[in-house]
Amino acid sequence: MIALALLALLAQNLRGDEALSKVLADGEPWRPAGEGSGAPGALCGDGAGGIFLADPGRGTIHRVGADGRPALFARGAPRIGALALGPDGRLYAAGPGQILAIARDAKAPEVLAEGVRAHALAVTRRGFVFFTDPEEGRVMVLAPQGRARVAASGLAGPGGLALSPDHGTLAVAERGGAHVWAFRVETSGELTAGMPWMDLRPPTGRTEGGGAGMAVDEEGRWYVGSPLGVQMFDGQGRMGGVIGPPPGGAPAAIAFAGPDRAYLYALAGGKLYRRRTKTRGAPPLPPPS
Amino acid sequence: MRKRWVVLALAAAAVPARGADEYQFGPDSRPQEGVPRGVVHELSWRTSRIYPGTERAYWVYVPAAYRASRPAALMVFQDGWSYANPEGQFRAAVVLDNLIHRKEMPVTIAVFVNPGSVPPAEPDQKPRGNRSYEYDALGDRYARFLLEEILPEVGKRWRLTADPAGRAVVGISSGGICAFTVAWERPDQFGKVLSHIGSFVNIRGGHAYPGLIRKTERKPIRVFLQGGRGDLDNLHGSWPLANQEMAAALAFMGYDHRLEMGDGGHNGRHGGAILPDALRWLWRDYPR
Repeated sequence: MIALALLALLAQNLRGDEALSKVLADGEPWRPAGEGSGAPGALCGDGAGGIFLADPGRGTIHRVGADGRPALFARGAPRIGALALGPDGRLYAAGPGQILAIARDAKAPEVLAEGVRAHALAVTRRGFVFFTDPEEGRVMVLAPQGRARVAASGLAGPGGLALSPDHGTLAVAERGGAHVWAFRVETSGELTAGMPWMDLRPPTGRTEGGGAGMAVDEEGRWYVGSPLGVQMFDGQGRMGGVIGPPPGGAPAAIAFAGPDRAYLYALAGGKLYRRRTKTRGAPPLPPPS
Repeated sequence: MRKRWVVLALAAAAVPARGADEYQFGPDSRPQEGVPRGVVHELSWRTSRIYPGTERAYWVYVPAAYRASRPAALMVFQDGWSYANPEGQFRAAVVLDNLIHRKEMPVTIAVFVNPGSVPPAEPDQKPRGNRSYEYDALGDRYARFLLEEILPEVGKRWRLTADPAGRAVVGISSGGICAFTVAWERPDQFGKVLSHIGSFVNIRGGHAYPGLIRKTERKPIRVFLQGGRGDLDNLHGSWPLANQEMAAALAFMGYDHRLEMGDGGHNGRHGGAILPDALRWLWRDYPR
């Protein structure tokens, strides 16, 4: 009975103690990262203690292992703007007008969709690729072996997006608005139950929250890059706090990666930084059995 | 429907870090001889447009003295089951039975509404609890949810007064600020607020209320605030200070209000023990 009560308490978190002190570690500020892997423009964790970094200018993708050493993963890639790991172990990427899937041993990337504009992307355990189209205010979905279609519309410049640890909820941050939307992910790839669920803190005097790239930790906390730094929210959509920005400025893309997935990486001002945290990124999910 | 988690969550939160919390029920919180009992109907709402995809249970208490020929007063309780549970910290239906019978308050229909949640799409996934989004947010969204969705449904079967002085909103913690928000946004519909350990802190900007109260023409709302000196002090704010700030702002603007500060923590023990008194105070001049 007590155990159930405590579980319910944790689930509801009525004490409201999802504070930054649970995530930030003393003596662990932002530090430069990713030396030797080019000028990164996109990133995602590799699920194995490392991180993938794309250099759009050079057309390369590096994989930096848990030991910190970069190894070339792919070259001749088009200008990659976003990366996400898929349930099949392939690296999904947003190229100019394209969505690609890159396997380590494949000769060439597979083009999954053409004529699309993807700012950021996330891949579910069922292989659905959700991506944002900020100019049209839409969230698009690409089904496995399917065509891209509109999953949600009417958002104010949707930028970054992220899936909850169980891939049941998709959160989408607004660049031109003040909210992060939450949707239920249906098995069909439809998005339902959409609500402007989290309130971004805009810079003082502004109304747009400038929500950029997103990440999720294994506790289900949501992280959003923004002009003020990384804004953290709990599983009920309440703000837990704003993590200060790295020296390079506003984080454009963020990811949990590195050893134990315990490092929060951020791309800011064209440079890569990371800081050790007390939490871990949500683990990649295999396809459902 | 998941009523148990709300009760357990509040009960578990009742492990006080500080504060006496030694509150006892009085006789008005126990069933009494010769007092007719109302009927509690259990319902559910699964088709919300304002909170799309959410499901929730709600209960409607109809007192024995209710007659369709006479519209009843109304009380809407958020975190409904925590108030309606006959073994919980409030036992509201029992209190209503006793006070209505002795005409210490009008014939009142109580609607106990649970917060919504979005069920998972797949069995191995978790539901998305919607309580904070519904209760902590400022603005009129939740008020519209009550006025456009729940109350019209209740109104199909029972007659409710349209007089805002006869319509009260009640809540605990985030439910407390929710109750205030509903009346603040729609004083034309709700003129009475009962808040227990209300979360007038910065969960979603609710700490703005004292300032808003001080610089807004007074609204026709009567407010009862119950707080505890042992209540939470955390990332969102200090609950005891926030409730005192609320009371100071209400006093400054000449609101009919009362603040009962005890020594309790973040739970319903104090609120439950004084519920009969709070209801008598709230309804003291309303025609029976």
